[in-house]
Amino acid sequence: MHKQNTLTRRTFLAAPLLLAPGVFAQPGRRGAGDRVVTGHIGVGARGRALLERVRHGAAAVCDVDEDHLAEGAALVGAGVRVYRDYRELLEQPDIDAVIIATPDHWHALQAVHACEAGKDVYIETPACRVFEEAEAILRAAAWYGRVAHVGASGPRSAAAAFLRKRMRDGALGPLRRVSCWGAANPEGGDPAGNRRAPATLDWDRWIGPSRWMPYNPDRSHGNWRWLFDIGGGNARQQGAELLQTALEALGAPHTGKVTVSAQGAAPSAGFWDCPTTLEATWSFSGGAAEQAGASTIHWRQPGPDDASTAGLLSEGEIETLRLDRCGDQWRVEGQDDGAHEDADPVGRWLDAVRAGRRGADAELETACRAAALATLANVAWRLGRPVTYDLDTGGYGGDTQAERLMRAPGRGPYRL
Amino acid sequence: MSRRLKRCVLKGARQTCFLAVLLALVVLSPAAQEAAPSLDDCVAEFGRALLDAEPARVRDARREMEALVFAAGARDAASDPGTLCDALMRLLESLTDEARAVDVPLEDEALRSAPYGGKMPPLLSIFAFPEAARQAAARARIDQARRDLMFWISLVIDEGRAAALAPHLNDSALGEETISALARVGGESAGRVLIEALKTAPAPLRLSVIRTLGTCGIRDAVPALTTIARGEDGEARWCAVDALSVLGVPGTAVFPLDPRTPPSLAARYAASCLRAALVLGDRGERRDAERLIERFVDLNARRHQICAALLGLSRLGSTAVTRHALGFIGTPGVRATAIDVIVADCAPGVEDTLIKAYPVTDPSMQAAILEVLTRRQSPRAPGLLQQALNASHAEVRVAAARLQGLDPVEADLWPLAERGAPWIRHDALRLFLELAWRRAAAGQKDVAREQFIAVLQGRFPPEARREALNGLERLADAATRPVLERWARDPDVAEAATCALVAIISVAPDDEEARGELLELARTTPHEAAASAAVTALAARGADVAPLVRQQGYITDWRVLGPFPNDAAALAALDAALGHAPPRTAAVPRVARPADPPATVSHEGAEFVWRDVHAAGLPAVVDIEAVFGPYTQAAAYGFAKVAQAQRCSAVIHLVRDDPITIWVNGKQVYESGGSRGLDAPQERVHITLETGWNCFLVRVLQDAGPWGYGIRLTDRQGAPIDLEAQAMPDDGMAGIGVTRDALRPVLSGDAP
Repeated sequence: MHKQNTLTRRTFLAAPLLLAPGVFAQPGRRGAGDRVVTGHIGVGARGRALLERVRHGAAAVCDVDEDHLAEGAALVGAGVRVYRDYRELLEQPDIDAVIIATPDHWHALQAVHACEAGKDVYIETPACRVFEEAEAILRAAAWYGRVAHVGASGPRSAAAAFLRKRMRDGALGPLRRVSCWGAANPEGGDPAGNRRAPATLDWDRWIGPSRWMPYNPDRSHGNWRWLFDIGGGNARQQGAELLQTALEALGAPHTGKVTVSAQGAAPSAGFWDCPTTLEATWSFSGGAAEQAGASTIHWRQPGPDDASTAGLLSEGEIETLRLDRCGDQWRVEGQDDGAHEDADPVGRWLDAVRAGRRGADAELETACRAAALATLANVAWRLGRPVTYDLDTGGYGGDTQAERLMRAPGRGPYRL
Repeated sequence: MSRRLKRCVLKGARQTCFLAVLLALVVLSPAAQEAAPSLDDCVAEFGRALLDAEPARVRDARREMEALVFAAGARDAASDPGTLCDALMRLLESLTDEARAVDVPLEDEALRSAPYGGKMPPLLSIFAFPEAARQAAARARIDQARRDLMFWISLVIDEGRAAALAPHLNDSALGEETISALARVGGESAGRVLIEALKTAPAPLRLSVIRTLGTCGIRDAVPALTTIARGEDGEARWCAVDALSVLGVPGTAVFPLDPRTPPSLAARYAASCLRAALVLGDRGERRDAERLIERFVDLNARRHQICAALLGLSRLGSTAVTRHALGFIGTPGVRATAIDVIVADCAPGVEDTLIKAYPVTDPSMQAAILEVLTRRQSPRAPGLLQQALNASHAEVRVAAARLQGLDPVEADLWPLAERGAPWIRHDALRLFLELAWRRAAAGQKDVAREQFIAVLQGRFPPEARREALNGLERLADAATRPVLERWARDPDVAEAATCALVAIISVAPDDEEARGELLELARTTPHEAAASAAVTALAARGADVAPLVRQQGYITDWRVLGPFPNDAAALAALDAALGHAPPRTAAVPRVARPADPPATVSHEGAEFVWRDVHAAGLPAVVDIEAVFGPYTQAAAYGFAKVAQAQRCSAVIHLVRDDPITIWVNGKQVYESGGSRGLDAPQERVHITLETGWNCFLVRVLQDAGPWGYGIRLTDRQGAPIDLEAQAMPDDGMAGIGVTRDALRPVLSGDAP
């Protein structure tokens, strides 16, 4: 019943010439004009931080929580329009672009609808949950020619660029191992907290395309990150960004097969269901990863030491490079010359919108795939067995349960 | 027998019957007799655990069930997944019977939101309908269990047995989960069930079925969906149109658009045509896709849809793309895409067509043709560009200059910025401002000033005027002051104008007048950036800016304690020692006098003493690293008191690096991991300030890098709570906010 992707995944990026880098950056070439009028879907903590960044251009905010909506509107000031339904915001003709900072389970649906409505899109990391959602985002961005970026600072940081350059230059030598790490997931979630949702929160819309679950403060704001179906724990919250960095350093293998195995400890208390500790391995066969000399990426939670909450280590025969995330900064160990300025994902996206660099590109593809690969690790842990995914055909090698767990069929009107 | 007693007896009887049936199933069923004991035990235990609702028991039972489900799904599974599926289906039936037996006169919506854990829904007063409330809670618990069970069944059930899920499609509590389960299972059988459900499912679920048929790509559903799309049911009709488009069937193939159709639905119709065309294109059905897109381009569609259609034609390599695109060169919002697709058009004769059209077309089209030829690297482009530098129309001259990397003639820019076509106006204005900035950098301040003022006074969008004001701020020319004071009253650009004024005053000689102006601005301006700039300028002149910072709502005077190791158990003990209750859910009694922490704290044999710290700058940040030195994996506490004349709602604006926990008056109000950085407040926490003293206790952990925090208080509308107005230094606790005379009666007897 489900469509197997019989066309190559390159179809979405195959629009010839239109997407060649640099075409839109030529002198005299302008896209949307200087001012980018933004709409903001999701103005919780992270959404408001992004809203601060583009406050002058913000014309509308949307949230299903009245308190968040009021705070977001107060941040922008008089004249901002407020919406409870993001589809009404997308209907506004004066809005050029939207920033999506809702929980993960909403990202794909809202991004696709935004592209269909002719809006450029900035999606907070992780971009999506499963491969189906990744393909939908890529397809929509390509079809409708929209600028779609994922807000991951790590892969675009100067530190990551330094890593990619060293690897391309062969300074590390043949790669032996690439490993990433993130913080352990907490335990928690008190089922006694199940109750009617506050009158200020539209819980049905908050749950949206996810499976129905009763309202509980330990499932909503902030705590959804520790739910398997929504946040996927730090394997996806932190891992997606790190995986993207690792994949880009390895030449972004989007062909061949990947086998994921994972072990971890289940929570011993509460209803949060992401593993508290996790060790996972993605092994790529075929594609660019093998050519780069390392076809395996390792993941662990918690990390190897206390120096950082998240990071990446590339071990080559000649040299080893370590990237650490400290707060909002990414640093390369041993590089203290101060040249590693932090990336500004929102600024890059706005520049791309103004320059009209439309369509799905390799960066978006890697970001979306990395998020889905992170979910695959969670699924492998849950199943207790390795899972193999074919990046070309979208098949799971006959593992029906893995395939079904990696589907996100939606709920009610909230379906892709 | 009273009605109530009768109900209790019936309930008890039903539960006993359920357990007996379950036990019978376990003992007597052939599958159970043949399968390993653990399967039946697990299923039976799961059923009992759900009825019990004890959290740990439910979690453990659920985990064991999951282990069985996932083991059954392994390719080399020892047990037959069908056996487990049967057991789960039987349990589902049992729970369904149990749910039906619960007599609750409530609508489904109330049931869905009824508490799972047994708390009373507010609709039902415990005093009025106690039994009904308990029934509602029980029913909600059973329904959620049924939904969970449906999810697990979808992981085990064979594709060919999907029809077994059909009866649950009509269940209002289980319908949506069943549709999702069928979508998850996939296969022909599930597809047939969903198609059949179009006839039988209740109205709200029918829409979900329609949508699922589309998203799952079930082409066998096209006839049924077409019938619905041609029907009278409004929402179902348009859902079917959307679903058909995903299957590659456009709205035009189903029904012609009625001219009386409302614009929003007409746009939906057009979108369905476009979507279908793009699906056909991806499927390789090029001719159909091309025909559909060409027809679509002629419709009165929205601009972004026309762009998508042109891109679609380009992707298909259509020979008609340039012909269509040329028709949209003059359409704002489509022009850029039209130019792109012509550039990418590989069909022969494109450049000949453009060269022929160039002399006889309007200036905007000429500018577009120049751009296309340049980007295509046509050998005829250089000659045309050279000619175009002397063209009679400014738009063509400017385009030719830009395409050759030359600076346009300045005299051409201003008229285009004011009165040019929409796509050239922004460019011309941008170029004009760039020139002004270059003049400013080259020291030609008078000319630059005039140019910035011209933009400021022109009919341009606020962002352009803000950029001009930024330019004037950089010049910091006192001659522009009258202009800036006028624009400081315009709400669109007031902040930029005020910042520019601050810049002018900051470079003025350091005298009383300048200080007075900066002080006045810092106190009265509502713009944070301008206030911050004024405070910074005052601090540079050696002024005491602490009162101003407090006036902005920042808590400046803290006491910090530490450093402690970042160990959960040790920190929990410290939290208790400091007199604050960490758990959110713990009941915290309202205290007339807030709990001051002890002056010294003992921890693992060492004595720790509070240290006074002043949070400086804007935002006012407590730099813990400066106090204790660099640490990793450490923790520190901060304490401050704020007085309030009367109870009010407030908002904490928080900067922090790294994870933080905040207590206000002994109650934990916020806890968050990670780091947001110390540059600007990025988190907000709603709190209530009580009459009198309010204690703030903060625990900040250190991962690596910077270590600190800052708290600013505003009201719900964002206006700062003037902490300076609350402060008066005479209470003996140096550095801690105290009260003015007006607050003394409120705080009498509360001396710290």
